[in-house]
Amino acid sequence: MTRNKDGSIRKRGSGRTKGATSLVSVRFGDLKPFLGEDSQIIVGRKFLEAIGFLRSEPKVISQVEKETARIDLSIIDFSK
Amino acid sequence: MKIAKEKIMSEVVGQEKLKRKFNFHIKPFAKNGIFPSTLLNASMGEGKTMILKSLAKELGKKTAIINCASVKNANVFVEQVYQPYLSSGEPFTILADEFQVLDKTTQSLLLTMLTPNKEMFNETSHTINGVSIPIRYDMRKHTFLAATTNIENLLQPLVDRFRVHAIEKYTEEDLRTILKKEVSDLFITESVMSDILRYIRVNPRSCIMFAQDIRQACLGEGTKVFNQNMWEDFKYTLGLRLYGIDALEENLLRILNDHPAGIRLTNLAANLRLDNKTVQRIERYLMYHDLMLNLNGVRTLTKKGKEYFNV
Repeated sequence: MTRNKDGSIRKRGSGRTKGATSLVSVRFGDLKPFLGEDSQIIVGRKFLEAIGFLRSEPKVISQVEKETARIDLSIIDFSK
Repeated sequence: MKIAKEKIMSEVVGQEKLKRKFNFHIKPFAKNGIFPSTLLNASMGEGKTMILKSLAKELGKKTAIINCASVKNANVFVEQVYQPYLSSGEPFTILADEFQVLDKTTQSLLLTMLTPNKEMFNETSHTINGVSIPIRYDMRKHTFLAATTNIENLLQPLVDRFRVHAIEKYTEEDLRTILKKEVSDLFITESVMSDILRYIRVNPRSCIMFAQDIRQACLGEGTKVFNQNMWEDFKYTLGLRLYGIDALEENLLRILNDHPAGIRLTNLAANLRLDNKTVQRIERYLMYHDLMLNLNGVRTLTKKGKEYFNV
């Protein structure tokens, strides 16, 4: 019997069936007859990143965040 | 046999045992540059930071004083403390204040950095944004001092890396010396001074704040003499109470006075309209002065506590 992370018994039929996938691999040439220049299609963000169409931007730290990350520190020179 | 040793940390009043322990390590430090990582554990206002600053002065190195509440994670510690100060060739003392609030990732990093060993240095690495930064902490070069009010909040293995010291109880004579030092430019008679000490909370910070108020009073009157009349006026104006207790503490004593058979914590908290934890915190100072007693959860006034209302 499969159990969930919290220890409860997993319901019958839940989860993805083995082998069932949402995405399939297809040749672009085979798709072309179905699509015009302005056709809207839905693709995965990961796919666009993989072909270099989208670039994943590094998280931009705002000035406020930078300020709050500053350590409260003071230096005293006792070596003199 | 008592061995005479030169005085260190002269600006620190009292704390002779602590100074002796520090002096024990200062002697070899002059030869090999090693002063063990030191953690000072005491309650608020006891002068922890001041004592450690004085110790850092004796060590004679550049000192970075850090408020640990502002160290959000190990990344900022590495970027803003390790890289600029500890990775350079220059010897440094790190003085970590409010050490109990240091975040756990930095505590874990310090666990490795401060591990005592024969070689007196430790090497590790820390990764920031996929970049591995080599960390090398040399105990012959750097010294780590820390002050905390709550040692329980720290990772126990980290505490084990330190020489942990407590602060001795300040005597009335110590407090008198601190107060006199703070108002050395004013004239206060011995009788007024003795009475003042009855109204101060027993820690150096209270003494310093009290001295500041006395100076303000003298400035207001345009005098350098703080006499009996001024002291009486000062007490009345600022609503001072014996032992330096505050209004809330006095309210608690008053409730105990109204319940001679004793009262339990929840009932006491309800009377004060406070939560139990706050009441327990307030009680501590009153118990310290032997003004109240907690016997099997039942709170009562002591003889000294009853006398408080007769004074």
